[in-house]
Amino acid sequence: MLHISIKAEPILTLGEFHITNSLLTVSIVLLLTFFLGLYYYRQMHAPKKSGLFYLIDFAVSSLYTLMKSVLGDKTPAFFPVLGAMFFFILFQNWFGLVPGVGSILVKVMEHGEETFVPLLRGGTADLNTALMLGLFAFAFIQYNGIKYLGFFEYMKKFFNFRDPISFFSGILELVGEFSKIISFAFRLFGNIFAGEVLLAVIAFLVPVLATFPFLMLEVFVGMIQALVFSMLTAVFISTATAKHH
Amino acid sequence: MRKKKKMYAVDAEGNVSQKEIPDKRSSEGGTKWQGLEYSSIGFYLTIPFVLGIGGGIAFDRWFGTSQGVLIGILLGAVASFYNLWKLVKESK
Repeated sequence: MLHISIKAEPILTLGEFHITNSLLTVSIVLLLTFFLGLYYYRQMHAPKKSGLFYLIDFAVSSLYTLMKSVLGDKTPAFFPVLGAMFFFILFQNWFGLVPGVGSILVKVMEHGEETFVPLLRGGTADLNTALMLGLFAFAFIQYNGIKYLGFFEYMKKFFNFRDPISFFSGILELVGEFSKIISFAFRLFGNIFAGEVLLAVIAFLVPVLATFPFLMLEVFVGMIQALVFSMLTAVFISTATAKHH
Repeated sequence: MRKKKKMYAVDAEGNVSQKEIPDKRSSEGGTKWQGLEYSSIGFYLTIPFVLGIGGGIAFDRWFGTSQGVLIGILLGAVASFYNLWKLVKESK
């Protein structure tokens, strides 16, 4: 029977701490990304460079050019974080599409009975990961807003006592600021989780070949979502660090 | 004179160096990607509304009133439309 769960399931429990299947996937991808980064760094100074190096180099420099069109002069300062964010989300999204993720089952005890849950689950197909990324992006935007404009200058946007209208619109601005977290988190989670469900359903209905076009679609969606997430953060940073009139 | 803040800068080749933070009035990036914000218009319209309703219900629970939800809905609607108005105004 089709197994779809909106939340990540614990596969191992250490005391009060549940290790969920998505946490395991996130850790694996993070480790692989770390080694890929190390490989890239080593190759940078090697006399003869491999094809993979040029592929990564192409991806990084294209992303840099894209970021430059949004952030302008401030790109050198923000690119490390935003680029890392892009690649983290990209690899999490794509790893969820690898065969075996979601289809390898393990036996766990849940409420006294044995059930089968997937061993791996796409990292961003868990709301907790997406929410963490959203919170991080939000904190990063606020931090840089304060850093570039100064605390009081930045807070003037939200708490302005000059006249009642700007006071009220400042409160509304504050609400809008918090809706950024939720919009970041739910957009990413929604798109990726919907993709996984779509693939599972198609594979359930037509076992052979029919999933292929959808798999290609999901590869595309995974890239677009990573790009949207990091570019939107860049846009918000560029507005937060610009002088407020 | 105040000491200038430094930042670590990375260029397209991946070289890291220490530079001065650019002036506030330095060149801004283009507004080509500003339209990306429209992708979250659905969230911008609904989330303040939901927050308003939730806040109103919580207010009523705590203080035993019954008008909180109504005021919450009203504030949420105002915040939603303010967000929409701001999005349209900024992209002009």
